[in-house]
Amino acid sequence: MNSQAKKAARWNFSRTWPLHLLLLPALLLVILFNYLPMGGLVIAFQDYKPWTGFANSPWVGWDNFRLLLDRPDSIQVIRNTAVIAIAKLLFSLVASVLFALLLNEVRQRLFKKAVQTIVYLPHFISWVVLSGVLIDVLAVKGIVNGLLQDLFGIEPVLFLANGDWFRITVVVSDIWKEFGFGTIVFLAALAGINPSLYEAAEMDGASRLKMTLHITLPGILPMIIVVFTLSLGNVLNAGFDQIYNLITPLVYGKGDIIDTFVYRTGILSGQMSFATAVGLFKSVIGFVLIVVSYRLAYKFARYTIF
Amino acid sequence: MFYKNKSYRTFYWFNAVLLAVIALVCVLPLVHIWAVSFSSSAAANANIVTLWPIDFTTDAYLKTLANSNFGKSIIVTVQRTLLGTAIGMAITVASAYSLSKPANEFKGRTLYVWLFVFTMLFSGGLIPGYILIQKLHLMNTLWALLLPGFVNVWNMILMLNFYRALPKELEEAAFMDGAGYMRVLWSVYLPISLPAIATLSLFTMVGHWNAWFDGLIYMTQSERWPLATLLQSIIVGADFTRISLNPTDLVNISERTVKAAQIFISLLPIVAVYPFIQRYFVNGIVIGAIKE
Amino acid sequence: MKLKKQSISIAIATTLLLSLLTACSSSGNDGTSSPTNEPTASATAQASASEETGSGTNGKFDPPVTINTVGCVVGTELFKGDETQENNVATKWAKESLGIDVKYMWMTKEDQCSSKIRLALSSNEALPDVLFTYDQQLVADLTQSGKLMDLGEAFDKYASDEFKSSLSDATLWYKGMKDGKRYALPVLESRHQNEPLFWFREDWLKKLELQAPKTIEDLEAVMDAFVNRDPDGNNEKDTVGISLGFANGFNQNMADTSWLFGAYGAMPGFYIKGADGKLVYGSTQPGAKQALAKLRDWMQKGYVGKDAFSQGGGEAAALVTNGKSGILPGPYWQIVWPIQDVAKINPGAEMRAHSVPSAADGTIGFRGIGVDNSFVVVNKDFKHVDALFAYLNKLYEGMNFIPGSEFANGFFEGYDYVMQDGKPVYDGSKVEGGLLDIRRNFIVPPPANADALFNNMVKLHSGVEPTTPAEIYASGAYPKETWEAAALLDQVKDRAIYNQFKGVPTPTMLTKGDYLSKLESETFSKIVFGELPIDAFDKFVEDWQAGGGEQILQEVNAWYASVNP
Repeated sequence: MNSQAKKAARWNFSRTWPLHLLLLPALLLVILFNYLPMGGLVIAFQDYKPWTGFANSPWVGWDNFRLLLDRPDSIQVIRNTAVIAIAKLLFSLVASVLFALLLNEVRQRLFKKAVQTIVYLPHFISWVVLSGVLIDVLAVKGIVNGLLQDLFGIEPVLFLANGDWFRITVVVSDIWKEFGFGTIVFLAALAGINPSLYEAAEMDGASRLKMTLHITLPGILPMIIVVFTLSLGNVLNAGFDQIYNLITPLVYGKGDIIDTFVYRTGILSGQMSFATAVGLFKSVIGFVLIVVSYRLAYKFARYTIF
Repeated sequence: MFYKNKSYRTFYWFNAVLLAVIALVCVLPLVHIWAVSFSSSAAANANIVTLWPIDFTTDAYLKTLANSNFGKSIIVTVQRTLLGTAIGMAITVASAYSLSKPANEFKGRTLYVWLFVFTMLFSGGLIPGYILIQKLHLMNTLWALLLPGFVNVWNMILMLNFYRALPKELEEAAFMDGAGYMRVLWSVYLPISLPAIATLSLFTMVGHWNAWFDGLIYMTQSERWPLATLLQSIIVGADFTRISLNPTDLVNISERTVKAAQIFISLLPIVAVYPFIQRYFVNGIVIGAIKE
Repeated sequence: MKLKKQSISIAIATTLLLSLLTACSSSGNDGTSSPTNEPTASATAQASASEETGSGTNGKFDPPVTINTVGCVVGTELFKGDETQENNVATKWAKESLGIDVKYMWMTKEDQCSSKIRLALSSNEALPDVLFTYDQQLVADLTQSGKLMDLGEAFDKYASDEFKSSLSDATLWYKGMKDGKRYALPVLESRHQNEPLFWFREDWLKKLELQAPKTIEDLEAVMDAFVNRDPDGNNEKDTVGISLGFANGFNQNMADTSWLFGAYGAMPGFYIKGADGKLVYGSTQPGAKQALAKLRDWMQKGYVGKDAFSQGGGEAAALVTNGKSGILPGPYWQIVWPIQDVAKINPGAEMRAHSVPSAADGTIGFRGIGVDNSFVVVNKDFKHVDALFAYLNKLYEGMNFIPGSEFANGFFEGYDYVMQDGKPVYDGSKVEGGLLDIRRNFIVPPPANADALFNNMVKLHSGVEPTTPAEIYASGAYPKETWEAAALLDQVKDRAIYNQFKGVPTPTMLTKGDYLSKLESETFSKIVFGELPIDAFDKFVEDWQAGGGEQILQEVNAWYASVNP
C-alpha cells in the first residue's frame, strides 16, 4: 500500500465518510465565521485606530494587557470576578440538579408542568428591570428589611451596600433568574434513564432515596460534569448586565468585576483594542480551565467530556 | 411500591409545598412587573405599585404596539427563530451524531471536537465579525442574524453526550440489518432523541427570540429590526441629559411602564409555545420499548 | 391525533419554506448608497447664488440633493400613523420645500452610534455625509482620521445671520477644533437647563411654619423638621429630609449635591480655576472635605436616606412623588418632569422652587454645564454643504420661533403645535391626541439660540405679556412654576461653576482615569455612608496625586494654556 492509501486506511474514510460529511456544514460555518475573523485578535496587541485598520495600526505589544493588570486594583477586580463567577457556577449547578430531582418526583402532570413553566419565566426579565425591582425590595427601607424587622427584630441588612452581602445578593438573584433554564437540561437527562433500572430496584425493596443516590444521580452525573466543564469557560464572565445595574461605589471593593471596568474605560476612550485584549485574556483562562477539567475527568473517571 | 411508604408520602407533600413556594417566589416579581405594565406612569414612577395595577391603563402596551414597525419586526423575529432553530438543530444533530462515535471508530473526531470547542472561547470580536458580514454582502439581511449562530457548540456537546449514553445495541442492530450511518441517524437516533432535541430547540428559540444586539448592528433599516431590537430602541437610555428640553419629549420618559410591558410582550409567545415542548420531556418510554 | 400531528408538521414545514424564500428574496438591498452626487449646473448656480446673498437660500434645490445620514434613536421618538424616522413629515418637508432628499444609511440606538461609526470606519464603509453626535471622543477620532470637512469655513459662507449670531462666542467651537480649524459645528442647547434649584414641598413648609432656607444651616433645620415633625401627617417617621441620589455621583443632573460642594469652593469631577489662575481638580479641594462632612452628618441623622447610593435622579424623584421626601434639587424645568405628578398622588401637595442655599459666609456655587454638548460633522467628500446649511437655517428659524419665518409658530401644525382660535397651542394636555416632538425627526436636532428660552421665561415671570412667537411658545409650553424657577436661577446664574477642561481625555486620563475616579467615588461614598472617617479624605487627596492625578493636572493645564494663550 502506498502512503496515501495507508493514510486513508488509518482514517477509515471508506467507512466513515458519512460522518465527515455530516460534520461538513458545521465545519465550513465555523471556519468562515469563527476562525477567519480570529485574525482580528491582533488588535489586542495594537493601538487600533479604525481608519488605519489592522494592517497599519501601530503595534504596542502587551500594553493593552497592562492596562488591565497594572492597576492597583487589578487583583481585587480579577478576584471579585472569579469569586462571583465560581460561586454562581457551583451553586446554580446544585440548585438546578436539586430542583430537577425534586420536580421529577411530582406525579400530578398539571402541577409539574405549571411549576416547570413558572420557574423558567424569570429568565425573561432583563437585568435593567430586575435590578430596579431588587433595589426597591432590598432597600434599607424596603420590604425585605421591613419583614426582617417586624418578624424577627433584625436590624436592616445592607444587601446592596455591604460588600459581602452584595456578592451574596448577586449570586442568589442570578440563580433565581436562571435555575429554571438549567433544570430543563437535567430534566431531559432524567428522561433518558432507563426505567427498568427503577423497576428492578423497587423489586429489591430499595427506598426512593436509595434509588436517587444509586440510579438517578449516577445517571445524570455525566451531564452534570459536562455542564460544569462547559461553564468553566465562562469563569471570568461574572455577569456584566447584572452587576452594572446593581453596583454602587460602596461595594466596588468586592463587587467590581473585569467587565464593568472595561465598559467604563471603553466609554471613556472609544478604543476597541482594550476590550479585545481583555476578551483574549478571559478566553485564555477559560480555555485552560476547560482543558484541565477535561484531562481530570478523563484521568479520574475515564470520562471524555467531549 | 416506594410511594406507598409513609416516609415517602411525608416527603412528597413537603416537596410539593416547597416547589409551590419556589414557584411563588418566581412568580411574584412577574406579577409586580405585570401590574406596573398596566399602571399609569405617574403611579409607576412614584414606586407605589405593588401587585395590582394602579390607575389601570394600556398606554404602555399601546406605545409599543402602535409603532409602525411592530408588525414587521415580529415577522422578522419569527423568520429568524424558525429558520435559526430548524437549521441550527439540524446541524447540531448531524454534528453531534458524528462526534459521538468513539475515537477508534471515527478517526479524527477528537480533532474536530477541539476545533469546535476552541471557537466557544476564542473570538475575533465585533470588528472582524462586522467586516466579514459586510464583505459577504450580508448586511441588512436575515442571514447576518442566522449564519454566525448556526453552529452552537454548547448544544452540540450536550447532544453528543446524550447520544453517547444511548445503548450500543440500537446501532448494532441497525448495522446488522445493512443500514449505513446516515440511515441509522435518521431512523434510529433521531426519533429517540426527542427530549434532547426539544430541550435544545427551546434554548435556541429563546435565544433567537431575545437577541437584540446583532439586529442593531447588522440591520440598517428600522423596518428590518427583529422584535427584540425594536423593543430595545424604545427604551430611553440611562443618560437622559441627551433628551431635548422639550416638555412633550420629557413626558415620554415614562419608560418604567414601557419596559415592563415589553417584558410581557416578549414573554407571552414563549409561554404559549412551552407547553407543547414540555410533552417531549417524557420518561424513557421510547428507549425501554427497544428491547430485544 | 395522527392527522393533527401531520397537519401541524405540514404547517411548520410550509412556514419554514416561506421564510426561506422570503429571506432569500429580501437579501437584495445592503444599504450603502454612494454619498457623493455629481454637482449639476443648477445646483452650482444655486450655491453661488447663496454665496452672493450670504444669508441662507430659501430656494429649492433642483435637481434634488441627497443628504446621507444615520439615525441614532434615543427612545423618546414618537410617530403619527405609519411614519417612521426614515419617512415622516420632516423628511417630506425637506423634499418638497427644499429639494433635499434625506436618506438614512442605517438606524441604530444612540448608545451604539459611536460604535457603529467606528465599525463603519474599520470596514472602509462609506461614512454618512452628515453626522450628529454627542460623543466628543468620536469627533476627535474622526478629525484625526482626516475624513472631515472644515465646517467653520462652510458655516461662515452659508449660515444665515441669525444662526451666525447664536455662535458668535468663539469658545463654543473649541471642542471640535484642531490646528485652528473648526471641524465640528456645535448644536447648542438652551442655557442653564442643567443647573440646580431647590424644589420644595411648599405645603410642608407652610404646615410646619418654616421659611425656605437661605443658608445650609437653615437647610439643616428644615430637614430636621421634615424628618422628625411628621409633615405628611400619618404619625410615622417615614420621611427623609432631602432626596439625593448618588448612583451617578455627586455632581449630576438631578438630586445631586453640587450646590453643597460649590458653596465651599469645590466641585466634584470638574477642573476649576485655582487661586493662581491654573486649573485644579474640584474633588481634591478642601471644600470637598467640608461638604462630605455635612453629608455624613445628614445621613446619620436620617435627613438623607441610606438607600441614596442605589438611587439616581429618577428614583430620588420618586421619593418626592410618593410623598416621602420634601426637597428635590434639580433644574428649573423639573416640574414638567419628573415631579409633575406630585399633586396627583398626594392631594394638596404643591411644589415650588427656591434658590440653592449658601454657605454661612454667603457663598453660593453649583454645577454649570455649557451649551455645546453635541456636534454636527460633515464628510469632507460631501458636495452639497450649502444644502445642509439651507436646511439648518430653516431649523434654526423653527427652534427659535423667528418672527415672519416659515416656522414662526413651530414646525408642523398638528405635530408640535396646533392652531386654536388663530393662536398656536403648545400644551399637549390641551390638544386632543397630544402633541408630538418632531424635532428628532430631523437630521440634526434644531440648533437653539442658547439664551432665548431662559431669558423669555425670566421675562414672563416679571409679568411681561407674551408678544413674540418665542415668548408665546415659552408661555404655552411651560407652566408658570418654571418661569418662577428660571427667574430665581437668573439671580444667581453667575455663581455657576463650570468644568474648564473641554478637551478630549488626556493620555494619563485614559490609563489612570478610571482607577482614580473609582478611588474617588469609593472614598467619598464610604465617608458619607459612615464606613470611613472624615479624615480618609486627606489620604484620598494624597493617593489621587500620586496615582496619576498630578500628571493629569499637568496635561489639563497644558491644554488650557494652548487654548488660552
